[in-house]
Amino acid sequence: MANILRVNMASKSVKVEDQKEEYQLFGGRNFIAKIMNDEVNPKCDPLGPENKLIISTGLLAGTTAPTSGRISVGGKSPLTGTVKEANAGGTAAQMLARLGLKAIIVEGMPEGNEWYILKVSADGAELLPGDKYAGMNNYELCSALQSDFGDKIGTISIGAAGERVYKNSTVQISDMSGRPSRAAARGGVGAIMGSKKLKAIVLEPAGKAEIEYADKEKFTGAVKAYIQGIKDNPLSGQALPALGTAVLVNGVNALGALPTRNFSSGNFEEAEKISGETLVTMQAERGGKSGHICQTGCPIGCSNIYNDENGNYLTSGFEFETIALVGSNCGISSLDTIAKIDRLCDDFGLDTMETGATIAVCMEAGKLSFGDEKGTLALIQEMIDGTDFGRVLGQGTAYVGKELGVNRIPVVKGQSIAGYDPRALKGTGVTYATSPMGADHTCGNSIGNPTVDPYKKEGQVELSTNLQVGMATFDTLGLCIFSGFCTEDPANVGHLLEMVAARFGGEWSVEKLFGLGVQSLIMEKSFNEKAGFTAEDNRLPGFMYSEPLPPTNNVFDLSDDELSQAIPF
Amino acid sequence: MDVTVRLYSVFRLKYEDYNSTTGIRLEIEVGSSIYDLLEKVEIEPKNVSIVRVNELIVKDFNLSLDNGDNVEIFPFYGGG
Repeated sequence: MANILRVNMASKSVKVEDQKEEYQLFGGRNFIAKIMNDEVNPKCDPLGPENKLIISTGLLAGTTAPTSGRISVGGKSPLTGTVKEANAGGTAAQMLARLGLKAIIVEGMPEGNEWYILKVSADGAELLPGDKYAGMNNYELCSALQSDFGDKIGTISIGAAGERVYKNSTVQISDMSGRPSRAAARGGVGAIMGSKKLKAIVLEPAGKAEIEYADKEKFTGAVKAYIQGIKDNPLSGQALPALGTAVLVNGVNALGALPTRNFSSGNFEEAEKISGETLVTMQAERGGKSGHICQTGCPIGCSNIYNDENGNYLTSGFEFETIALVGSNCGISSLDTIAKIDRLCDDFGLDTMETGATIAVCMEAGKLSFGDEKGTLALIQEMIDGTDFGRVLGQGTAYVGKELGVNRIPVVKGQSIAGYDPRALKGTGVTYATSPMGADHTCGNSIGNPTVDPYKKEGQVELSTNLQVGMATFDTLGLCIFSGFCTEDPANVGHLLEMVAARFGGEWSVEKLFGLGVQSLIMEKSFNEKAGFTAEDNRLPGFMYSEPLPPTNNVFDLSDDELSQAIPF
Repeated sequence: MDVTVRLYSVFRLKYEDYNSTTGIRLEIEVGSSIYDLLEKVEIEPKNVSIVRVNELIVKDFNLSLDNGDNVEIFPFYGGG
């Protein structure tokens, strides 16, 4: 059974604990919710010693289940004040599983200003002095760690944004090329790590993961069938491998839901220029790559490598959400500029989405014009340089909006809305309003659902509830949510059930499987309630109820009573 | 009569020399509907999420097209 590594930053001690029997069916997102409920005071200061940084693999980590290498990073969010789980791909989860670990829990805070790194190898774990790495951003940091510990390591790290406890800072995970391009991006999890003076976790390669199976042969058969299901689905088998998540730009624009100029329109007249279709054609000419995978064994490959105009590597894992929030939402139509910002954010350790939403709010306030690329780069440089205003920008969209006296601030529970305006995609709007994580599309995105009219409120609460349960389940299994599109075919739900049953044994029904997600949501809501959140926090920003969104002129019209029916557990 | 057809996502992939600025110029019979056009470009209606004609979303695929119309065809989406 996998172990839990507990790291106390106050006493500088590391301890490998046998996993409690009761934790066996907790992984990823619901493991974080469980530990937060069992061990952390909900009223605690997110950047104080009582908060914990929890890094957890999912229930299927270390197995051959496709996309089972997601890593969850969480704690109490300094951005939202809620419980937070942000997950990423990359190599960390599979490497932790090979090291015999299910999770790392980092607690306490050291006295003094010294920085530390945590090295984990097959021989054990140790905290090492990290001052020599302090001040480095993620790309330089990864290179330095690779030259000190070998180029086969995996890394979990923060840039200077996390060191400075910016509330929009990320934890970056290395990809298969050792680049820190995968982000556990949302909610300021980088600041939790920074508050504990932990600059990086170095994972040394180990042998094969030792996984106990109830029925190995059955597991292998179910994996094979589920992979086929992923490949046969038009989204995970065709659109995402060919065009990446940026495929959404044109589709969301056609729906009239593409955030444009601080959520003042759902149509961006230059959408085609920043679309997945344009991106792929351009990168084919520059020697970039589509269909790139972020973890071993992924049958989808929605990632990419983005080369600059000279054909040199600029960034990777360049996503729709970044393009929507930094691009159309700021009125920026240059993919090269957006990609440059993506690189700066990965390197310095900023959430690209929160960053884009923050800059757009500055544009709304008249600090710079919509579409001002140079001005945008200058503001990001201020964050990197740590100027007074740069540090303000690092506190996120809600804080900056209030500071600048902006009325139209697109956040829920202090976290910026994602790349879908909820007035023209109301199911996702219900998720933004009611998710325990704050505005988070990955908690239940209704885009592309053929059963419910995205502009009408009917059916949205039920749709969002089902999606929120499904996403929380996938985040608990540690599977990429894109591997779940194929579950629209009940046969593939069956293969998923076979996989979980063959791994853990016992009888597994659909109710038991998705009960993992329900359980996660219950624990998250309970933590938030104790932290002081009420139903009044489950609302969208005021302007979205009153200001029609061109060109469809929809407003968000679900009442507080209707929203209170979502995730009713 | 002629219409301009713009294809998105996987619908575009089968046209290697697709030009995103001009789309595809297609000659269709007078009175052709969106259904007729979908048949001509070999796209099954069940795989279509949105059709826009001159930038307006059209829900009824029986709509007759006019000369010079700009027709955009989108598949279902997911991801994010």
